[in-house]
Amino acid sequence: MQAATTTSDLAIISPLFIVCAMGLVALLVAVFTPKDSFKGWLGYVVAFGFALALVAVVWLWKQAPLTLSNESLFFALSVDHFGLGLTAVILIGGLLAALTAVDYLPSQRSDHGEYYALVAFAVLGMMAMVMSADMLTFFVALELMSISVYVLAGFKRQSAFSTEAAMKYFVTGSFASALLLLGIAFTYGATGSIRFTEIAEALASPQASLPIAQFGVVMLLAAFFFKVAAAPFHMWTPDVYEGAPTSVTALMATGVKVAAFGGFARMFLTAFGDARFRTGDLPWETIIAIVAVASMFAGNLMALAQKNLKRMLAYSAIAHTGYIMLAMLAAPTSGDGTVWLGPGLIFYLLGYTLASIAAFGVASVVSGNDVEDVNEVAYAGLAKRSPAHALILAVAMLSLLGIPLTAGFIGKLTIFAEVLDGSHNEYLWIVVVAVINSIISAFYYLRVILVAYMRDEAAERPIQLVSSRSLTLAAGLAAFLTLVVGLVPSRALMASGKAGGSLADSKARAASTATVNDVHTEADAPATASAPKATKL
Amino acid sequence: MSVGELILFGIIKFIAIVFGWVMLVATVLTLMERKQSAFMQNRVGPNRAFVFGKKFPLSAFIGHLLSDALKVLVKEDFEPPRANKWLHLLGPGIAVIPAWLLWVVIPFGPGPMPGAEGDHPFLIANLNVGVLFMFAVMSLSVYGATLGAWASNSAYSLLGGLRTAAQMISYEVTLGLNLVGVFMIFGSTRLNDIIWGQGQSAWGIFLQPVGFVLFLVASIAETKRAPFDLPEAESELAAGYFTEYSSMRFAVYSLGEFIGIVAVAAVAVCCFLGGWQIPWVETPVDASGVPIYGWLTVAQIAIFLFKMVIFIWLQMQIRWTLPRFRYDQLMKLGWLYLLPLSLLNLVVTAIIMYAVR
Amino acid sequence: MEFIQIVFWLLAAGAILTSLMVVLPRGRNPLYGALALILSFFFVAGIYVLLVAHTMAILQILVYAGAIMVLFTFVIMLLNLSKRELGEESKNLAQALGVGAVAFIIIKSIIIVDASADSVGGDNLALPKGFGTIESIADQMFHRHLLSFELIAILLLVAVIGAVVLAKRTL
Repeated sequence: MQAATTTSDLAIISPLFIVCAMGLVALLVAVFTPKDSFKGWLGYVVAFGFALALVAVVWLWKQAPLTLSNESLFFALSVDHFGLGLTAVILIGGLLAALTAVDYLPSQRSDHGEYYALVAFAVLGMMAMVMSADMLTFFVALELMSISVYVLAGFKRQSAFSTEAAMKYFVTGSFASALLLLGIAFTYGATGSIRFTEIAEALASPQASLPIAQFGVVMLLAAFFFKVAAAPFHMWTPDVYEGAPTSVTALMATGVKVAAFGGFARMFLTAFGDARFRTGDLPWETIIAIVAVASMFAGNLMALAQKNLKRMLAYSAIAHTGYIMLAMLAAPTSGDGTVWLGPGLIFYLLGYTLASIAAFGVASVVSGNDVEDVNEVAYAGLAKRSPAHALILAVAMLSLLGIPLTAGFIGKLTIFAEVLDGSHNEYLWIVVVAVINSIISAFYYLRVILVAYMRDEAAERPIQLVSSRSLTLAAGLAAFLTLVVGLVPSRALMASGKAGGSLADSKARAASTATVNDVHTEADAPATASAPKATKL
Repeated sequence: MSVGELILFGIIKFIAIVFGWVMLVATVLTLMERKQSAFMQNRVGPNRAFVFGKKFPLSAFIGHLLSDALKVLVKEDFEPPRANKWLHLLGPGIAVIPAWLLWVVIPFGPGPMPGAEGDHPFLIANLNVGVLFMFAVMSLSVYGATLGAWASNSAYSLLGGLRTAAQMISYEVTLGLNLVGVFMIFGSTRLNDIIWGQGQSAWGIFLQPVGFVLFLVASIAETKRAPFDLPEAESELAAGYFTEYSSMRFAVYSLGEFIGIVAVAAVAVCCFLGGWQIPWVETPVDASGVPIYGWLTVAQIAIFLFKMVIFIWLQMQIRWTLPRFRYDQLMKLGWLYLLPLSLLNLVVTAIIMYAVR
Repeated sequence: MEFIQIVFWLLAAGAILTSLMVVLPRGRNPLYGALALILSFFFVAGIYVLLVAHTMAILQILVYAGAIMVLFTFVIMLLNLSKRELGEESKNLAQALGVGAVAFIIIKSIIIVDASADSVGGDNLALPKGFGTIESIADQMFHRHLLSFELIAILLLVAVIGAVVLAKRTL
């Protein structure tokens, strides 16, 4: 049994608590500030909240894995290294994305305080999602994140594109949510449980109804592919990424993706991770392999044709989804069926988050006031007009491409190595495909740098944002971190490895806490209405 | 008893209670309303159909009842052209059936104490969900009004129907939330348990005074009476959602409304005015907790009826006193004042309950 | 076949039929679709009653049929779309494919569920005491799933903010 930690429950969920409180504070303050005043400072407040939560996460990391004593929290959350590590990535992404909005929103005439509250709540949903230990918490957290982001996508109310993006995202996203619910229902029908670890136990027993579980897994996969924008569920991505305000796109490309990958990776590996299922009865791994290849090709080939920077980044996001999925294929297993993850997934997500924020940050800078036309003219000759921004853009593109000395390179390398290691060359062909795709992607990533540095026919076009301090700060910070992580990846890699490895503990912990479990389930049967139960919080 | 017998018994009970008692009360109510309005407007009121001559003024009640019934039965059943035939026919039915069903969970006489085994003679079904069933059914009565209105294919009707939908949805929330305080105090949603609880401690009106006032306001709005009669505002919308209804269909609509009024009054009496409890009179029970029925039971049913009439009379008094709200005032009152106040009432109740526990 | 089973099949058939009626004849007035959906909720509530989940059945009617669908009909009646705006029925390959896919899924799921019906649940599913009562649901909601409950509170707050942000004329 896990040594009973002295950390109280409230301290363990403090990151969630802080972010939620910041959202509420931002909302209240937004109500009571004058209508036309500058609301950007709320962005700093929320970013400060994220930073605070990040500190709490780091503090908890040292004590993880933590056992929650409260009944509800015990069943709903698993605060292990995996959850905390992904939470840290989400918080970094959320922090930088919140900063990019501070100056960008006024330039789009959409400077409303509610924006920052919604960002905080979206991040709250993401954090709960990657820490969730049962389907119910998972679903509620996912909806919290999704609905916040739907609204954020339509935040530029006077723009028809933004409204269209929100509408498209909402309709297709709701459909995906319905599929997810259906998947959960089928899984529950097959196993009689909504907890990931209990599902795994139930599936291992011979009475489990695999055909029904199969149905459920397919539905869950569809929802997963939609949320991470994998082909062929990617159709919404370009329009939504292009139409949404750029600061929201930054959040979508980073936080949403990290949360979706983290949450679903935990779900699939914990609940359906048994090696018997992965390519056999519940062949989710095979499906993911096919979808990964499809995503890489769809994203990269379509990105080649894009002139608009945001649209190009949307297709590149689809391609990256394909790369990241490889990390799930590579999940190693031990003899007793325990599954865990290598460092690849989390490290790649970190690198991708940083590079995306940098790229979208520069996209916000070069997009003019009140227009959303980030085509080549916008950043042609950027190096002459604003060398710093051009440099940030270049670093971002190189990292996305995966050039050595950047985080993107290490990430790709780790994932490819993991796949080759873990699958005994079974998936060698996928790695070859991924490398080919990386080469394809060089065309469009390098073209951006080329246009920014070599072409100067629009050199007289000024950088239109009057005040872009916070934007430059966020993008610059992201680019800087990209380089730092790329140059000295060891600590981040070790942490990612620890986080991925901690997934293996969940099974052991579930077994060791079986006693707690029994007590709870016995207490669950409500004998009388009036029996109050002691809840410690 | 087998399941079949139980169901049969329930149906017989239902017919006896609803058609023998509730319908009667609702019909008498129509006359009471007319008399009351006449009194408040310094008129004489119904004074034509004396059955036994002018010496017995109350006999006009019976005469008017009979003539009203005859009138709605023999009048032309007009169906507006280009109306949606089936929905137009369905509207009054959908309006009146929920009103009948409301009575399934209302006990109008003493039953076994909470937790005691035994059949409740004055209650059709002792459901665990209790009053929630009533709310579920009540929320359906909106469809009667809105569908009938839509099917009539008339602008007046449609506006009335839309107003009904918006108003009933808005005030249903307040109506329900103010009962939650009572549920919290007595720890049950069964009206029988709540009434017993009030006999042991105090009436709901003393424990939940704010809740009672808010419930009263919301109940008037929910039964669509002045000052909340916007769905059928005569001066604006002819007759609102049933403009295009005549004869029996019209009668069914108004019957449904009156039954609804009686039902809401019954719930108010059960939750706030002690139900069939007579103050300072203990209900004798045998060892298993089932009350011993006798003359006291008759008195208790009578006092239940009396309390109900008092509550309805209060509603009528308000109806003929206050002018109609404007639509925006209605919405503002519902969402900006009543709802937050109800929530506040709940929070305060919870805090007090926690403190005195 | 037992009495309960007959009731179940009747309710299930009703639920499926009314659900189909919600979407099927395109170009028809959406109000009929809404009405069919209300009916479908009633059938589902009936199935809940068969499952001894009385409170869920009542809540299903109270929340879905009684509140949410009223708003649906409200909006449909307010818009009062004409035949022209509703559009003509269109047929194309994508639609045919969609219908085919749905039919395939339905048939497949029936086969699967039928084949594995024996392995799930069965007689050994003993209901705990007080199952389906308000008390047991409250117990689940406020003890075991408290975190989800709180998250849903935030979720609803977000939905409210979203409605205001997206729909209010001047922000």
